Amino acid sequence: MARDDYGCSRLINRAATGNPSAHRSRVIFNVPCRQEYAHEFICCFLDNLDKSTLDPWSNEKHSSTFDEESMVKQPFGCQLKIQDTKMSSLVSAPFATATGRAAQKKPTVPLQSFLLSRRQPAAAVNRGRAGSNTIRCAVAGGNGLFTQTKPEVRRVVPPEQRGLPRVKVVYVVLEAQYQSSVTAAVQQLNADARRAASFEVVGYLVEELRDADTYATFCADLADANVFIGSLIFVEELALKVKAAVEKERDRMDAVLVFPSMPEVMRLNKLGSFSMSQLGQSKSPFFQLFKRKKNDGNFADSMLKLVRTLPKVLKYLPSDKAQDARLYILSLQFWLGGSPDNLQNFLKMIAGSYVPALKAAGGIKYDDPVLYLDAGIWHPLAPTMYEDVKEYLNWYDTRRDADPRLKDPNAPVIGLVLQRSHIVTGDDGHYVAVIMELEARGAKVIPIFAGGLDFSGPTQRYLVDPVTGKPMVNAVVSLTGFALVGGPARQDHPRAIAALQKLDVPYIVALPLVFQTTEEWLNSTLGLHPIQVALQVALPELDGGMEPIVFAGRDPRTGKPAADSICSVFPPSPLIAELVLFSHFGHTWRVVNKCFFPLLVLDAGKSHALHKRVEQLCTRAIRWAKLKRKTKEEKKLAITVFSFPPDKGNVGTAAYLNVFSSIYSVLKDLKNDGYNVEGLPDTPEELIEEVIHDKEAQFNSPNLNVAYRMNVREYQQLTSYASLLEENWGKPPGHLNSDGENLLVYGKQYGNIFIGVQPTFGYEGDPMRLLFSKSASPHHGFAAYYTFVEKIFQADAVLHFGTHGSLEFMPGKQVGMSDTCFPDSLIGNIPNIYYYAANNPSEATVAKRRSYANTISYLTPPAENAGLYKGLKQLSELISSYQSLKDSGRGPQIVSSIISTAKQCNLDKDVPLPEEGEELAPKERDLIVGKVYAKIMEIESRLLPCGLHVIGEPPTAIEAVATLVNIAALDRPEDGITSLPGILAETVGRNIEDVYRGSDKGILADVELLRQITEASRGAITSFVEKTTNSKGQVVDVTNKLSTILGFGLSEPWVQYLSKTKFLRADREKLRVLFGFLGECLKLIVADNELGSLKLALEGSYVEPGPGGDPIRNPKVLPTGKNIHALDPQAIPTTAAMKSAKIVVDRLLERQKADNGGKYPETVALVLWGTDNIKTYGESLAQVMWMIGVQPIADTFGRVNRVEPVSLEELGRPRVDVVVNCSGVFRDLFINQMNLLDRAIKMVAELDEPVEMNYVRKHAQEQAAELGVSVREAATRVFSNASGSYSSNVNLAVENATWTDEKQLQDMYLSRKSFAFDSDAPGAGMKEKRKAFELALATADATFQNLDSSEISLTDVSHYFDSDPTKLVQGLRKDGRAPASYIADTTTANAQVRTLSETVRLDARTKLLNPKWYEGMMKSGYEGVREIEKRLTNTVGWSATSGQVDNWVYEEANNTFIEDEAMRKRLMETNPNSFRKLVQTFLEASGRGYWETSEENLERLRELYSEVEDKIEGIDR
Amino acid sequence: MAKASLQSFLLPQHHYFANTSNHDSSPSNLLKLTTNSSSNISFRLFSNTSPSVTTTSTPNSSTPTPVTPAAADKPPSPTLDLLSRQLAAGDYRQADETTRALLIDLAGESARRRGYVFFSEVQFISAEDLRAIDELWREHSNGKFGYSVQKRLWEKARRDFTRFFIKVGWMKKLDTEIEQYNYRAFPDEFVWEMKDDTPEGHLPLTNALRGTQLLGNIFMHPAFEEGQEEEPTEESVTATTSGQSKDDSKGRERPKFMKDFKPNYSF
Repeated sequence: MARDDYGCSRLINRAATGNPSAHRSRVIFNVPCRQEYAHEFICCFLDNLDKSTLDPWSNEKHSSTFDEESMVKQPFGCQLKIQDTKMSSLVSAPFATATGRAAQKKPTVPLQSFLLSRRQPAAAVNRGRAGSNTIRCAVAGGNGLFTQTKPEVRRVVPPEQRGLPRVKVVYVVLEAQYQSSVTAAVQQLNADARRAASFEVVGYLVEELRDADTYATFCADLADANVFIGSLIFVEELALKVKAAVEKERDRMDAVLVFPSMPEVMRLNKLGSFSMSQLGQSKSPFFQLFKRKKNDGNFADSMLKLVRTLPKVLKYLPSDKAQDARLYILSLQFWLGGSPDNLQNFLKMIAGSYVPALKAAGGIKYDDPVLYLDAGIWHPLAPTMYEDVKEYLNWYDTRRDADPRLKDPNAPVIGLVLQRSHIVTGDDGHYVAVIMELEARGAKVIPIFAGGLDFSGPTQRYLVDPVTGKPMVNAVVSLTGFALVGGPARQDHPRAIAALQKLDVPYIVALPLVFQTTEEWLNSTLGLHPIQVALQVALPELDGGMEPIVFAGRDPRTGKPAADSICSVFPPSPLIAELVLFSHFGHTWRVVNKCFFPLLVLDAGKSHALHKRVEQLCTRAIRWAKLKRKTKEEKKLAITVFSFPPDKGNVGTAAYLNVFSSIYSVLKDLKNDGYNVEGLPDTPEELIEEVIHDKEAQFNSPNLNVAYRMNVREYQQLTSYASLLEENWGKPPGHLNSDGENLLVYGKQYGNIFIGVQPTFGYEGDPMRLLFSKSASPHHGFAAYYTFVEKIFQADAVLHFGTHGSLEFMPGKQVGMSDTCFPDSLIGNIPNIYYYAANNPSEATVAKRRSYANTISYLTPPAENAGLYKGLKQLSELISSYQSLKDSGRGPQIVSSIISTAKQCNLDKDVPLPEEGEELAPKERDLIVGKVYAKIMEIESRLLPCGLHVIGEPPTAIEAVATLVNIAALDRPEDGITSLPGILAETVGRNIEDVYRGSDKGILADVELLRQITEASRGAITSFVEKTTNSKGQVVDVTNKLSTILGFGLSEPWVQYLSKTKFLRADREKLRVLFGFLGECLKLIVADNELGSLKLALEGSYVEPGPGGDPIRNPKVLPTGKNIHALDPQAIPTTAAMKSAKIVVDRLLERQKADNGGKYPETVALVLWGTDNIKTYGESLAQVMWMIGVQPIADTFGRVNRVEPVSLEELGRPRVDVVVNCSGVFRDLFINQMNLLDRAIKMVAELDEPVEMNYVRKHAQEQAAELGVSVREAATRVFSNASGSYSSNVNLAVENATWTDEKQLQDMYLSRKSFAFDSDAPGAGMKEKRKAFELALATADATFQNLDSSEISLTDVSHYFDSDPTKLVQGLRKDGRAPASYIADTTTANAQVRTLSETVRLDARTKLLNPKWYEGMMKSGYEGVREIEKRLTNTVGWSATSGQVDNWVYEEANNTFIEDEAMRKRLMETNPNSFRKLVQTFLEASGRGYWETSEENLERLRELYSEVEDKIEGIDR
Repeated sequence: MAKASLQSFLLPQHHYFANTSNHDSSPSNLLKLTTNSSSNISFRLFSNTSPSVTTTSTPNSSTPTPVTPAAADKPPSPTLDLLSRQLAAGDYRQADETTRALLIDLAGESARRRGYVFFSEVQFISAEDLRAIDELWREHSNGKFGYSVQKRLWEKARRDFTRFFIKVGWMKKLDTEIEQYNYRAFPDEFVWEMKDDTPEGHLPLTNALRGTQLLGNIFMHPAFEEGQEEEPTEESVTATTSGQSKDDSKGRERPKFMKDFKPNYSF
């Protein structure tokens, strides 16, 4: 603290002097100084205050020290250069007092407020951003359509009274709270019998000024106004409107007061001689400085202290100028104080001092602004607020009203985090509701509040026992909706995490509705307003916040104007009011507001509890808290596994995870830890056996172990929402998870652990439901499962095991569940812990938001290079001999062997191969060999995850090599790291990018060089890893090893290795930096926190949050075992993403142009994935922008809410039309970005450009004519599912083989995916626009998707084909031509755009047909067979949707898995169900015409099918 | 308003429910209580806070807000007598206000200062007083209104407040794809007259702005323990079977909205 104050004091001193070199921190309070500088100083100060409020969102790191030189010189240099020492002494005085130095020496300065004030957290400056940010968002949100209010509700007209001067005040505000406060203040003033004047007031909300009529009224109001007040006017276009209107009347008006706003508006300030017309003239440097140099909250702190102190200093300056300046600062204090009392005094002061008639009469007496306690503990019943938790608890124990349960020392204790503004303004009904609910349920509460937005200090002060350092609470619930540090403004997640780690309890962030009224939220299928999702859901997640439960609403009738208008667009008052309350903080709490004012006004915009939601929140919080209280021995855990798609062979499915082995290892660990895991068998196999009974049984047979039979009556009694399921599923029990009389819960109990099988959606095998399942509900069996877990087994927590189940994808709102949302009803009150693959942050986020999961990440299995096998290996050998012998005369012969082998390997489609025997010139030979070589290398170096991960078994160091090689392949300029291939290429005088390009073209020398580089990279990294591991292959003490290694240049293992290669002269320093980084990564890869974090969660401790994503791109994903989160949705696309996007789009368009007779595609149909955009920071989003030729423009906060068209000249090509299909998850996570895209596309469609250069416009015009709508409306291109629905269900149909023909799949796609987002009606959510979707798709010349990470490829998951519209487009196109289809692959340093069929072939070669891959899978046994079958099923999916699968892929697969007798036997033994599915899929591929093969093959398959069928049935019997 | 809670306060003598055997409960008892307390404060609290007990709206909010002369709308002090007069005059709207004010008044000094009743203060209200209020309501509504009527409906709704709120007409159905209910807005959307279709138990209103614990605790108050009010309860049942609640009284045959009920809130 001292440092901060010191820092700031220095800053201001220098600021004042304007001379950085002069250290004038010596303080002499030299009164008769040049007062005229005072107000200039204030201007300058406010300018900076204002600018610093504008700063916020850049991602740079904070620096806690000031760069004095630039800080002072730049901001203050020009503006204050005339100022001298005397000025410095004036302004430095308050700072000296602030620091406590020299304070006593200046008795003239009233000090107590300083001395007594506590450290102010990053308060006001940050808060200012709330306003500005949100306004910006609101602009993005759609042109005032959220606001339908009029200013008339804010007009107060005093009764006609002769003889009294009349003062008319016009104000423009952002926040609703001012409305009630101002109205109340004015009514009180007018009600005072001894009043000196009558006041007329009218208020406008900034956003209302968009409306032309309202703006006219505003101007008219200004025409006879005495005083204008503005606050937080940060929307540029509106700021300019305000400025234009006020400017005209400024000279005439008696006073103009503008509080933190854009400089244009701030300059309007006028208070007597005080003016700010010079404001901001020094502008950019300071601002730039702030952008660059992140000072932390302390700067703001100190600024605020200045505001607090300045008036007291100025009071002693006699001149008018100083007094005007003082009144301005006092005004600011009044205003920020915000209460009607403060505002009354404010108006009295201004009117009395500046309205001539009143001034002449001697002014009006007014009171000083009121001081408020900044932070403390508040309870509605408490006689006072507490600053000491012990005192609070003493009071608590003496409460006469309290139930004895609350005095039980074992009662759970919940810490609540509240916003002071809600308490001070009395808008605390929803807080009181939570407190009452918790206490009524037997939990003690410690409700703490703070006025700032940094709650990390208060949580430490009031929730941690100062003596023992132990938390005094068992769970913390924040009711603010904000990130713990920085709120909506500049967050400091590391600091928040550090604070929460100290608390070490579950941390829940619930939120009140602020942008919507209750009814708007209920009506919305989106649920929570997207801007609030960004601010109050996504950001708290980065702190590790869980359970975004909406617990309070706003009624349009409660203060109709306020709630309706502001709340729908802006953060409501409390959001911003905090900013406003930074004024004065004394050490004692005083109640000033003795007089109550009319309540209709008081209640305006207030929050009310949503009783059921409050219940849900409180019961859940108590359940979490109890985890901290219960002993391990008594804790009950329900482990839930999935069966997806529903087939017995699939029980325990989870991406990359060996589920049963993992469960087994978890249970063993829990047992050792003291949990009751009675009867755990000795091996994982036995565990599977006991849960599934026998693997060969059919899924629906009761042979799956039945843990519980629930009769219908019991079910209905315990399941409050059971009747809601009947519309879709009829009366219980139904036929799913049922024996006709009872509902069946499958699973097995071991002591206090229950392993259960989550039921399926239930409609997988039902094409009609798949088609129309928009409003589906879970079936009775599904509900019964969770009822059992919660009410009968009475689990203390449920652990969903692996990626991913169905619960979180059940119908309901996207975010901000209501009582009618199924994920919320199903999970009930059970704390939910969820193991989730680290590479899938988007779906993990859905689980987090919709089913309140604490998502604990697990590692994907270590990747290996695909390597070469069979013919491909031969080819590689041939190429190698060609290189050594090509000039020996054997060249042509070897080339022809290469060509024929390549043909055998079906490479002819990937590389143009000449006819055999064709004469080739040496150069041509080189080129052909080079191209084949490049293809081979591409296959060889492809990464694939081998085997399946087991929780608690991190990879060995050597297994991590391939991952490290890939990590090393990327440049990381932000960390000063050069890629290893880059370093190596340099040593031979080449640029790696050139080598990549040459290799892509098939230039033999470059392909060879690249191979050498790759090999050397692997070698160098292997040598490094070997040095840091022990004989068992475990990494030992990397840090120590590293420092030893790094100490001695020559002994560096990589240097030793490279010295034996042609790269011996590689740059040592760059290598050292790189390997230092790789060492850190290695440590993280092999770290084992997955079990540890689970146990933390089960013990009711805090689980550290971390990003999800691709460990190669973002090693911060490691180590796993973190509570996964996504990212700030408004941060994308980043500039870097835009850059990569341009490369990909240009390559795509070039490729399509080359393949399509030199014509650009008119339309590209593409897909936006949530995970993809998280991992790449919005690359694919940026791709769409570049196709249509627009550029994202980041605002001053670095947030993207605006786009601008790129000129056609710069673009150098036509604007390409797009059809954007957003995945359901993308829609949930990035609705603001959908909005942005829609606006961008509509903007492009309306550009006045020739249609041959603007295909968006061209098509939109055509479609407008056809549909009879406007061009703007016709330019609808951004589609997704309906809210709360996910995927086209084509995947389910294919996986279950339950479709009749491709037409049916296409219908599914259209019916599920044709919901459009309309930026002109953003509040309406997703609207079905099937016709527009079809028309747009019909113009597509190409389809396109991105691959986001190396370990997930086209056939690994069903999502990719699920969203592929290739054949659908063909059917829709008038010419019936199939569109080209492309896949971009940016997973490696050398980004590629391949055709879909190329990618399918590559995928088949590296996975399904690659012995390394399938043998790796087979090692995982039961689950491995399923993985093999899944790849084949997904391949059929590609045939069905795109027709881009070559016959040989099936043929080779058949050779590998069926023809090979030993192999098929192994498959059948290991997992007969999956093997049966495999055989069935082959037959299906043939039956549907995707695979032409010999009758012999088919016959064998048929025989096998009945054989395995018999086997399964036989065992069943 | 909440600021009141910040002031130090002395708990006045409370009527613990343990004392409720006292049978001479009467309006005068209440009156005494009211006069005992600092009437100024309670006046003000009343005038300002009672509407906050429910969701409020400004009926004339679209027109300029007229200046409210300070003393003009100061309502009379809340007494049982006043409530009785208001009910007798059929002025349910005012009676409703008075009821809430009475509740605050009865809950003790701290509730008066705060302007609302914290759930745990309900125990300080004597059974006599609560029953007296309830009786007045029932008496002047043919047994249709009153806490005990509400309690019965609440029990019937299996103590589920959402169902109860729908039942007594405090929530309204929304026009959405799925069946949802939102809280009714005060005062416009409530029924202030005794009509045939006025839902049973519609009045008096108790705030759900601060959750349901307050109302729950009123229902659980010994004043409304089973058997104690047998006769009047029966009365109210008979009185209303002809009304809209009759389908609800049949166990199996719940009205459609109960069967398809999607829980929801808002008020």
